[in-house]
Amino acid sequence: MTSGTAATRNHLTFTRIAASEWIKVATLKSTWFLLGCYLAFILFAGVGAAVLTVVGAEGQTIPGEEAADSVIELLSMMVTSLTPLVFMAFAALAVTNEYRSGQIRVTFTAAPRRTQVVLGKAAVAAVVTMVTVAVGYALGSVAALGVYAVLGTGFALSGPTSVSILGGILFAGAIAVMSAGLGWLTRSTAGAVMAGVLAFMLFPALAQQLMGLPGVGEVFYYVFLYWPTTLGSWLTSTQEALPPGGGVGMALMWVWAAAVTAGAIAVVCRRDA
Amino acid sequence: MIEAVGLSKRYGEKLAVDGISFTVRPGAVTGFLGPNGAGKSTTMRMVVGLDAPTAGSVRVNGKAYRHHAAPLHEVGILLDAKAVHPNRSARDHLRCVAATHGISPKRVDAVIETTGLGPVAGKRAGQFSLGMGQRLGIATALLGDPETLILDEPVNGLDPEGVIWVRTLARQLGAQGRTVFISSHLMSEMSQTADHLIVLGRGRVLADKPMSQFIAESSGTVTRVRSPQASELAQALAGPQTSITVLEPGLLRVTGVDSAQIGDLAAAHGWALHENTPLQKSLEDAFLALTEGAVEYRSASMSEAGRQS
Repeated sequence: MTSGTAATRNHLTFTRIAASEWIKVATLKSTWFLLGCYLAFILFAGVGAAVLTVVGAEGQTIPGEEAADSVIELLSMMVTSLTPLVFMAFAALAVTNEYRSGQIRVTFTAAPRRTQVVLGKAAVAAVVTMVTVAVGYALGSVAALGVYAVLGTGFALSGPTSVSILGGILFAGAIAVMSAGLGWLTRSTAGAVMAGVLAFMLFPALAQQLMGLPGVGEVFYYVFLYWPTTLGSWLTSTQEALPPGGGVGMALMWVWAAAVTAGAIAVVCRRDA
Repeated sequence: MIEAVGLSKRYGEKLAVDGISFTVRPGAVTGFLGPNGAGKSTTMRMVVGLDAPTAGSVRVNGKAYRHHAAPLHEVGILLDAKAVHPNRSARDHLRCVAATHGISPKRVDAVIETTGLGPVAGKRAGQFSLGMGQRLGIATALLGDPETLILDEPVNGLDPEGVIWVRTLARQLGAQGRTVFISSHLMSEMSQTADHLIVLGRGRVLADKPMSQFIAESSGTVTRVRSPQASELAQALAGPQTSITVLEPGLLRVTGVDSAQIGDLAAAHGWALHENTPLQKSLEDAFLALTEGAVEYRSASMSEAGRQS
């Protein structure tokens, strides 16, 4: 009955778990729809940024680097402020859909080493997000390049602008990892996205308001300073000399991601599936 | 082989599994029988580490399930036919599971063919009937060509052809020397499939014996006896192997003694017998009698239902 094509007896490995997670993501139409919408939006944003830059110049010649900066800045603002919701939803859904459908029991039976499953999902969420954001920067830039070419404006990436792109990509990847972690912790799409919105959108705004409070204001200042979204803004800025510096900021961003993932692993390994 | 020792699981106040020990041996089909809520599914989840035991331990093929290098090749399990992403096709679902162990697409195709899923393999699993879902669950369990197969209520929702298919598959796998552990709450189904029986009730093992022994012990005759001297007859029949129930004045239900012995005894004493009818006890009766005090969820009787309405 089962001997027709006997299964080759391979071991369970992290690479295979990650491959399985990639197939899960790739075989859902909703994934491509969500990421496709993001890219379409970014394409539109690139065109819009270029047009606005040229219009804002009021007929004066714009240096190529300045033209590129204005587009990349807008695209980065999209990444850090407007579109994190897309990555948050994508990464959280990769986890919470499994709990909603009961598939998590199949997943943990096929791969009972739960730490590897959590890391595998985080890795796939991060890579897919970062590739999508990279493609987004490229698409937005190419669209802007087209507009500038038509309008006779140059387009040249400067060193800081290139770092800003890298920052945006890494920021989005870290946000995806954190959202996947929140998905594991809450086991609910609404819960994970709500926690993400509170953490990445509402809390920074609240912290900024509370910085002025006597006594505790300084605490909120430092929390805000090293909060993931603040780090993200620094990472994607095309301006130099913003603390705590590109490399350190990126590292701190991923320390946050690692911390949330570690919390998720601790909970998932103790909890019944 | 599955070996459980002192296995317990507590959910808050409720003790779902209460210190059970059992062994499921290879080369046979072991039925895991019990009423709803007896703890069968919880036990199966603990076998593959989905739920952590509150106490005790369980090993599969000599190790805790999670310590196996290639778990899917050790155990294939069907727990819940609906535990599939509804928007993913059956083939893609199997590909996801196969990828964890580098199992080839050919093997995926083979289990699709074995389970009769071919015509619907490209359909979204959310569109499947319960029966098709069961087939997909069984296909998932077979993917790794495992040494041990655990199937929780596999015939739920299957049509008669599907039921016979599962029964035949289980027996074939057992005959190949594999460990096959199947749960059900239907004694009739188990009697046609299993070689060995473990009966669970309220989280405890009520019986653990070969099916043949269970049948032999359970199918003893019951005799309905009607006599004007019923009380004298009951006294004369009383013994350690005999069970006598007075159904009404003059009417007895006797087990442990056959109707010929009862007739001979009555004749020897000159007592009149108005009825001496042997009644065959079914396996279902034996199962119900065994689990009588261990039923978690009991239906209201028709009369009670009538009063409530």
